[in-house]
Amino acid sequence: MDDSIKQALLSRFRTYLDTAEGEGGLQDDAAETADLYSLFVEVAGLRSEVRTESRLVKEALDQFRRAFDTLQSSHTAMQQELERTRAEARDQERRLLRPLLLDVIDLRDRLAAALKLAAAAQLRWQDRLLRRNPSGGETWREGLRMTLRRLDQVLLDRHVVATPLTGHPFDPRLARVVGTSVDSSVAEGTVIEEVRGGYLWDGQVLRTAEVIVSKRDVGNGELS
Amino acid sequence: MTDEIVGIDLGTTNSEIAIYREGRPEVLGDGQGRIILPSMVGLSATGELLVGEEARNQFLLYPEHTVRSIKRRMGSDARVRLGDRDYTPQEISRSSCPG
Repeated sequence: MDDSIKQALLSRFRTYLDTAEGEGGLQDDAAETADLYSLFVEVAGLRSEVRTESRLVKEALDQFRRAFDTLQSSHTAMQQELERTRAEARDQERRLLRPLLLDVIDLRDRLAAALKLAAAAQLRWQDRLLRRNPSGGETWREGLRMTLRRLDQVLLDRHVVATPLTGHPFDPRLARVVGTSVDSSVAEGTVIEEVRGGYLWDGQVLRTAEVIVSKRDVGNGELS
Repeated sequence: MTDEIVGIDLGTTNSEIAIYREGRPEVLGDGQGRIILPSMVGLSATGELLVGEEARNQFLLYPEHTVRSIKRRMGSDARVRLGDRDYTPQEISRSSCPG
């Protein structure tokens, strides 16, 4: 081969080698090293960021838990307060209603007494003979009976009921003994007569009855 | 520690019970709202303990089962019979104040 051709080929090969070294080879290694480093830096940064975020999330959860606990305790306290307020309102309502109901019962007692007296009243002999009722007594008594029924219904609507005691053993929770009497036909401690009727309101004593009770004959055994 | 204080005025004839709570005193009543309670203790015909108004209710019928004015005997060696047992006046007084 000609020397000039050899020189030309060598020159071109040298040029090729110079170009190849400049574009790839060592340059690629350097770039690869640079990418791993930045990757490591990125991963380290990411790890740190994840830790920071985790801490923030944990703090947020703790705050939320505390807020939830506070909310729950506030809710419980509010429920208790509500219950207490309701109970107080109920008690207050009953305290206000009690004297009114007692007045209604007293009014009923008076009407019943008036009806009893009216029923016992006798017509004059002239009126009985002529079968007339000049004062309209029966109409008046019927009016009293209607009023009594209405009052009984008013009391019943408010869960107020009379306590029938006559013939039953004396119960100190429901009645007070205002007199005793010897009555051999019933057992000792049996209620013989109700001087004043007793009433229950929602199962609790609204008015204590006053009763006369049978007692064993000790001495003369008179009504005390 | 509670901030409620209960005070009892044990009288010879009547007693009262008051409570101090939420910064104010209040006299306590019985089930019927009565704040003056008779200082009486008794045993019913069925052997149940009766206090106050309920004990007074049966006094005419069972005076032997009802104790009243026990305050007068407080501090003495007297024994009071109630039912089938004897009690000191202090024990009777404790029964008469259920609060």
